[in-house]
Amino acid sequence: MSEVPLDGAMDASAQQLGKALDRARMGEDRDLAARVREAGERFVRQLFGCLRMVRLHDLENAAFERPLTEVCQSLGELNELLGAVHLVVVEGQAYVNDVRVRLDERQDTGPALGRELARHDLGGLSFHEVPDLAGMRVFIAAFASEPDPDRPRLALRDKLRAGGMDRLDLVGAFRFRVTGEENTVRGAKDEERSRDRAATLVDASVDSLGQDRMPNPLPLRRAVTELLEGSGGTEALTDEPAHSTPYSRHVLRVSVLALLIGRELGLSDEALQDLGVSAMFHDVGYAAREGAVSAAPGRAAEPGYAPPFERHAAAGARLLLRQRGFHESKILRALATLHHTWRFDDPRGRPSLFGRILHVCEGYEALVQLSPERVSPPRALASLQAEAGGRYDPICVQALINALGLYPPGTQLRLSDGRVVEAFAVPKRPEDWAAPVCRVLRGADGRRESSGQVVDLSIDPAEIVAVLEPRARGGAGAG
Amino acid sequence: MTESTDELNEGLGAMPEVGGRAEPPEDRQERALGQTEAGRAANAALRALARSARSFLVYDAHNEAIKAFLADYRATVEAAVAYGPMALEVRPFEMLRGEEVVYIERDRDRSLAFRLFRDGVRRLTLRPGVPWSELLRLLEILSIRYTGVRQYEDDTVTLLWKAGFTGVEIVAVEGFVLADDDDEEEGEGGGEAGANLRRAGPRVEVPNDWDRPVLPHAPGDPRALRRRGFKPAALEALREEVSSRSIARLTVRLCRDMIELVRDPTDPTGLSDVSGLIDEVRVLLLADGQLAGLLELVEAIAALAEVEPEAAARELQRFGDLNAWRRLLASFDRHEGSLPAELFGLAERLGGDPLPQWLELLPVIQSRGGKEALRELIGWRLRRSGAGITEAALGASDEVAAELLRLTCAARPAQGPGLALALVERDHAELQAQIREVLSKMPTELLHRVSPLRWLKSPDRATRVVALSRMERAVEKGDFDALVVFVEALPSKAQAQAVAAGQAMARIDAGRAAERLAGWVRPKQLWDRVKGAAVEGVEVWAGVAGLALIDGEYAESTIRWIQAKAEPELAAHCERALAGRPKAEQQGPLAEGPASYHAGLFSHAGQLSLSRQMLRFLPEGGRWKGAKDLEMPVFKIRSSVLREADGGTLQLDLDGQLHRFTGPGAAPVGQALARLLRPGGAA
Repeated sequence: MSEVPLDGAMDASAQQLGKALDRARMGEDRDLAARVREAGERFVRQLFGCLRMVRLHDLENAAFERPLTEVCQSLGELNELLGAVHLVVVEGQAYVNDVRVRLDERQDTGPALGRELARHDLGGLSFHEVPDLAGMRVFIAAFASEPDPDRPRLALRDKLRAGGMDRLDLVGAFRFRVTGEENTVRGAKDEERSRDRAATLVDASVDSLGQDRMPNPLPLRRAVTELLEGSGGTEALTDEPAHSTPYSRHVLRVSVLALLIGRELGLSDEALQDLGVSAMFHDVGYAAREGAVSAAPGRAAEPGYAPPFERHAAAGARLLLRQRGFHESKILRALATLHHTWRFDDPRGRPSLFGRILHVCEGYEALVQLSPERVSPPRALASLQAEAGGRYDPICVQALINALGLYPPGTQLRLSDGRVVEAFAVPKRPEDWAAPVCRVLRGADGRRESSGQVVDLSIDPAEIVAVLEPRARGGAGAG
Repeated sequence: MTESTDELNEGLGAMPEVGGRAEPPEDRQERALGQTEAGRAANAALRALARSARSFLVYDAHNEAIKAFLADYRATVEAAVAYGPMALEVRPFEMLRGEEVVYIERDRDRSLAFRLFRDGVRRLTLRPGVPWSELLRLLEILSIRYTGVRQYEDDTVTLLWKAGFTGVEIVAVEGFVLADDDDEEEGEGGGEAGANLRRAGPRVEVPNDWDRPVLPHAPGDPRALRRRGFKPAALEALREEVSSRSIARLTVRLCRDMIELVRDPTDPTGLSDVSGLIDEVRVLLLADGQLAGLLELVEAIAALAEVEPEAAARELQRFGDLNAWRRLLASFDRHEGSLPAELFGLAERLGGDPLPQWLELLPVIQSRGGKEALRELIGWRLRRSGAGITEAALGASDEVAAELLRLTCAARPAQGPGLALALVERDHAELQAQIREVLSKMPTELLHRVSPLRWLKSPDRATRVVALSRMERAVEKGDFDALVVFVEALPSKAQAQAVAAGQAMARIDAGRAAERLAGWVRPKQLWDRVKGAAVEGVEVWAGVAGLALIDGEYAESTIRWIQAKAEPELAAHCERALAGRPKAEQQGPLAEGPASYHAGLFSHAGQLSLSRQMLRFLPEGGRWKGAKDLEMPVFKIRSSVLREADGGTLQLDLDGQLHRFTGPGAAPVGQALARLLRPGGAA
């Protein structure tokens, strides 16, 4: 050991550990954790009990009334706390919405439940709403039935749908992923899945926070980790993830841009992760509802209105601060969300770093995507640069310029040989900064190319002769 | 993954002392294993790691045992990695170094292997030269799990990932992912189910015009775009902005900005949206001793009073509650030198009187630095205001009252005696010692503002003795009689108190004392003298001590009389008393001179003299009418007036002309008498 602690250092070490534990305790939401644990444990036991019981008794037997009612109640309790309830069993361990459920291992409940699920080629269940007694009966009956030997999961789904249980998702088997394992993200297809997952998580977080639930950053943190481990999700700048909404696509693009800036600034992995999660949440204020009208007796309350642009950042911070327990990441997120619309030279004080980064990303995104007067990515970068030092943090702007290259993904270019191409990747090396990798949109003869032909301008002899502005896109590169 | 871990707290009882050091009882289960030297070393290191991680369950971080565990952990790991990298395969109940089982523990609640495995760790490697800081961080992560802290933001694997180890290698599961062979869904429409898995239930849509209208931007020239590098210092400054070292500043900033929103009448943010954050940040800043941040936060909340005065006051109150001060003072563990000004600024800004809470904390704060800081704070408060001290002391425990008395005497010396008197009836050795300190240093005038006999309510003999020894004169009418009662009620062994009381009697009323003290020493009744009952009483001790201070042959002869009859101990007391009497030359008159005494129709020439105890007139010829009146104890003289008489001589009138002297001796004696009768002027 290179450092030799003296007696005093050992004393300091003890104090350091004590403080770390104090901090960790501050981050706890004991109440919520206890309730999820308790209800989750009960739910899993009751569900497992029902699945075993159905082998001994007919489902119509009155003896089933009580256990079914109880499992519905436990599920209802979880739904109240968490919204959708995701039960996953992996390697004999059960998780409810990522929280591990303590089960009595002597009774083998976890592995046995895993085996029950595996009969139908399942690893998880997702309850989007709490079924009534009849629905739960349908579920148990379908589960207890003999699995289809060829397509067990789909057959089970059909049975459930036939019984009216269409608010229940069946998910395939899970496995633990090991740090540094090969093919953690397995190629383009998996990157696409990661982006898809991230986009739907963004929408899910809006759903959840919009219904006054607590923020749950852990799934988004995992999504960010996936993006970081892959190519950084830069394809999201040009491709649209499946099942995404315009909002989630915007958030995902901003997140990718923010991570690009963060990497360019040399932020640590930990900081990048926090930055990515902050970006995923940055516009969540639009999920808030302001000005709700109190319910008159016997009438439902008016739902209220989403905050306007001017107040959405503050509204987002308010939503994020609902998360109980102190954590550095929570502070960084809330600050980023609150400050992401502030100018660099804001009279209220300089915004936080994440806020400044997100402000630059939003500016770029507004110019390239949102504005009716959309401009090409290079022009967007030039506009940001023109306002660096006042509206935007100059270092963050330059970091974005460095990371995206002179022709950022989405830039359409006319080449000297007549081809029209679109940049789709960020430069991997500094020397490629002005020589993007592109897809061919039109051949030299002006015909549309749909073969997905790729041209690397760092080696291709053709030169860039023009950047096509978006309003000319309608002419498919004819501008 | 997070986990509910209440069970981690189960099964750990008190740790018995083993071999002079406390060891967790489960060590009995974690068997010493290993067929090889390296294996045994690994076993020792892992047991030390487990023991250290568990130790925070039962010990405070300040406990010496923690330091011993840490030292053991470090030493054993150092020894284990001396055999090369300690690469361990983690299984549910055991750990292997190569093929050799080096750790085994079947009890889930106690097993280090089980915890690591359950938290997703599959391989753990400690390399030679692993820095102590990393070993400490590893221990920290494991300790967090052992103490049952649940983390929703970070799971164990995230914490390990964040730690950025260089000498510790962890192979862990990173949560669960869909298995590779998830082809069934693929064939049926792809990942829609996955999307639904995440987005479910009622949906909330953001407005269509989110982030719009887009504010106009200045046009720029793309030709001006360049790739540019950054100065390392600039990047370092940015990274520092989001590092843990900046978190206190960031939290305060967030609070401040959110409070500004609360103050903004156009924004719907209310205090209820922010109070949870303020609470968390308050706890953080208190625990970290971030005084500047606390002060800034308090200022921001105080500004909130403009819009929500009651709520602001409520929030501020929490910054100054008992728990807040306890956390803050605990952070002063290594306090050296003077306290930072922000601490006093904070106390001042919070308003209210923190004294009762600070006093309550005195016995609670264990660390030396924290206690010193607390004492300084109390001293600061006492210097600022003398209000409420007695009330606080009366409501405090004896130990705290003693400390408060000491601090009060230092900060507000004038209030010390009053406080000491208020506490004098408390039966507590340390407090009484402090009271004696106050008594012995108290100026005579201050002591005699109230009757010094009030101090005799002390349950402590030594305190009573000190009080008596300081008593110079009667303050209240019944003081002398109270002393008599006091002496007569003393137990037979209370000679010290009797001595002090007897002396006090002589000082405050020598005339009455002479009679009473002599009566105790040499009873008037022959029968009493013969039987010698008084000789055995403690009053005799008082009598001898008091008589020793009284002038006159009678006093001395009385002492000698009892000395001849006394047991050796009392005889020795008499001897000391006689030895302490002023010598003849010391008993010489304060003033004297020839004078004539006028009493009614009679007038006699003679010598007038004044000693500390007695005014004497010796007529020429030695015999004259009324001679018995002319040996007047000074204490009996109520007033003396020196005025000019017929013929230019000075005339000394005593007690309204009942006694009148003229002649050359009248002036010096009168002046000396005036000095003697002046308050505090008695010898």
